[in-house]
Amino acid sequence: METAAEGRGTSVTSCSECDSQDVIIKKARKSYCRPCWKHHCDFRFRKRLFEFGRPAKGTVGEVFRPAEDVLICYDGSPTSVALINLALNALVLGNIQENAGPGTNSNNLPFPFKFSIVVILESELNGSPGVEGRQKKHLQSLLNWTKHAEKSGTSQFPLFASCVEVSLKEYHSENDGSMSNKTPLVIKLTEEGILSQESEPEVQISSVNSVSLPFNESLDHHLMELRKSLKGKTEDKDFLAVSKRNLVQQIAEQLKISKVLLPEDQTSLAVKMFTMMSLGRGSQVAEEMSFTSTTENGTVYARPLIDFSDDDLRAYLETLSDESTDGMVNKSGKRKLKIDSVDRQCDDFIINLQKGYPATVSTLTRIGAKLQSGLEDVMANDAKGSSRRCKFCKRQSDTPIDAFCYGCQHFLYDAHPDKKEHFRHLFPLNASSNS
Amino acid sequence: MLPCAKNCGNKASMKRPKTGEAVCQNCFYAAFEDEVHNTIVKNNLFKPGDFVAVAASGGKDSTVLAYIMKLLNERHNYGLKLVLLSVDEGITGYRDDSLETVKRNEVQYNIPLKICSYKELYGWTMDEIVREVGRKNNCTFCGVFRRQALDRGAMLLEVDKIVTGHNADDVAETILMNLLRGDVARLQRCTNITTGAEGALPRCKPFKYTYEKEIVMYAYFKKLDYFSTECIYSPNAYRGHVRTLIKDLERIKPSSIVDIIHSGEALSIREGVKMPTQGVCKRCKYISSQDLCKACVLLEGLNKGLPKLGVGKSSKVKEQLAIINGESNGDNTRKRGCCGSGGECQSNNSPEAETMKCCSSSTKQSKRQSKKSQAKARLAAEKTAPPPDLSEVYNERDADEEFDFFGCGGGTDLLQSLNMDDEDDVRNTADPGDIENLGQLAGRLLHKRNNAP
Repeated sequence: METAAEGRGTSVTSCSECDSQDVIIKKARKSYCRPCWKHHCDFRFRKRLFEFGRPAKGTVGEVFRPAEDVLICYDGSPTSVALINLALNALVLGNIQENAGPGTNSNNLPFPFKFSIVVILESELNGSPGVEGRQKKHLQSLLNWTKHAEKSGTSQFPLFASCVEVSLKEYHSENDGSMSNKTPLVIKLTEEGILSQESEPEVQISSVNSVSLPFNESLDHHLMELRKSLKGKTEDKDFLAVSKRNLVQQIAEQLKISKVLLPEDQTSLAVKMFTMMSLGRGSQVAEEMSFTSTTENGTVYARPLIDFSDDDLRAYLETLSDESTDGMVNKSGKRKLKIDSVDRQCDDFIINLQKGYPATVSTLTRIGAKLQSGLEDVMANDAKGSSRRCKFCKRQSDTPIDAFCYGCQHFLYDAHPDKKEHFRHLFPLNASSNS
Repeated sequence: MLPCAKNCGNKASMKRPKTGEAVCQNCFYAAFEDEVHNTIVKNNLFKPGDFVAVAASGGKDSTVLAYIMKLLNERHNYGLKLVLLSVDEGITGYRDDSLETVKRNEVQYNIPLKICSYKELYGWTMDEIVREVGRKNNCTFCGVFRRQALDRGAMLLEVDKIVTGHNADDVAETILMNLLRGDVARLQRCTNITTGAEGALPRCKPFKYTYEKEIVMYAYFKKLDYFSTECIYSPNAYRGHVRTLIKDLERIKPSSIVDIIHSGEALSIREGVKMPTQGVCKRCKYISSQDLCKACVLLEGLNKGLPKLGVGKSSKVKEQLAIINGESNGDNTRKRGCCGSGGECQSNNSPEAETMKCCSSSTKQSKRQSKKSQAKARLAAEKTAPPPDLSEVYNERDADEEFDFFGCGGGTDLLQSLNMDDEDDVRNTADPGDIENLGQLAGRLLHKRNNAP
């Protein structure tokens, strides 16, 4: 709402919901003050969350079922900070409504989810210098946040951490025990003291300082060699992103969690779309752009921030108390990234275009939801086609014969000729197709 | 110096942008020509005896295309009859110079040339259009008109196919552009190597997988005669942003262009998503998903002093057109909270009065606003440039007759340049009383041809 101030010709904007003058964000037709914007974001998120939780069409779901475990992927980005805070607020609000006494108008169903958080770390060897220290600092902030969450809500957010090299475990044969068997897939950070059970795949650790990186030096060294053999930064980042995604999948399976929330907003989805298109992963764009996507093993990935741009979420973070975001968000300034890979180039392009054409990311998200893989029509007629997934990225494969999809072939086949044996070692079953 | 990667014994003189191979000039020519030939053969672009129009602008792509089509036609006995087809948009200092190049190409390659102009077909040159609309949206007009102009020129020449010089960079750009515009219909078909087969004349892109840089290198090393100046009106185009991105991506990862094309080919639209249905324009009979094709809407805007009418969403354009033409649309007025009974609405007497805060006030208001904006636009147009003297262009028309030739040309000079037999054939195919000009004639021909069993 804009009203022209008399005599001066300037316009004063007030909140569309409560007429407050303290506006923090302007959307296409509306303006919001802090409390209204927070309420709006919480409402939109809860709406998406319940959409995610309700039984699929045509199935009969239990209304009073026990709360289902959901894994939240945390990557340290402002989007993931917003995601955990939105999840916390949804949980708190859900509990308040559930516990509302008789006589009130509230007749809400129990909140359907229990949240856990997983963080994927990188060792110094694989990441850039200083990465371990920064990651541990972030992990400590996150641990503090879970304590804050515990105070706010009735239940806590269990915090799990893993290291990216562990994703290679599944590719090693059993006789290669030195590399894999004794390494836990995931550790659980807890206050209840160290529960060291080497035989268990999940280890409980009481303090961030007790987390040793890498989890497995041998696997870490192997990962480093693989990454060195890739042609460029673009391939390296794509390889690492796929490895992390595979690891989340493995962790979800181990924790017996079938639903995962991803910290992806409209802006990051738009960048991802362009990056995937530029890497030849067009056939996989549809499953990465939709609100939910289901993997081969039945794990459902959801993107509940699909309605928000990064600006929206930044404004949402401003509405939160310092305790909610302490040490997690860099409030000092803007990112300045060196453009050395396709994803950064796409990021730069989308962010700049968004400034001139504000509908850019929402248009891309909308069209993303309308897409499907061009191969789905073909595969519908092909009984064997339904299982045609890439051996590495586990996404739909667009190559009729090869074990790997077109996108994965880039970094698997185009490795430096003298270093191809690393990949042969990694995928022993596919050595023949590699050659 | 590195030896040629093709092991021909020569020294490499260049690095192929597409593959990164170091090759000598002769091996580059051979690889380039073989790749285009393979694209043609693999995708069955032509059949022997086809009469093919090469869309020629005089730029590097179309010049190389004309050269290579002639070369491959002779080398591999495609059995094609070739003709150069150019469109004169009427851009002083750009198109007039480039057309001179095309005329030289006609002699150099011994391929006949046909030129159609916007002035003949639409009554407007791009210079005049830019004076009306400004520099921001002029590419919309140019692109829409050019597409139709090419089809119409090709129909008059009775060719079987049109080949265009769209290269891999252009295709990749178009894919990303359609994503950014959220245009699902175009996204689905923009990667096809042959388009328009279902409606208008088929258009082929033999350079679909050929990098722009390689085309430039080929033209440069072969010393082909081409025109290299960029359109004076194009730098403000939205496409420019995407073009820059493509070049940046290519710098980081040369295979990005082919990868984007591969990605585009692997995309399709989910079932249940509403897609536009293809029909024909009510006025000019050109293929269109709306009642009026884009060219007709743009022309209507230009001719009525509202040059920005056709720029924007089709639904909004439709609404505006209805207002201008004085048509009332019950559905639209209902959407706005009106009962839809137009001027007769009596909110006090109407049983719907309580639920709808209606009457025709909103329609009246928008009409009033529309009239205001019309008047403003006319005033602005008169100030900047006088409207084109249409009676000069369409001098055969009655002076009192209202100009209603949307998307169609008024002159008959194109027909005069065809041989008389062709003209008779053309004229006999349509109802003579119905045809007012050459553009309509081409449209009818196209319609008839598409409906032929």
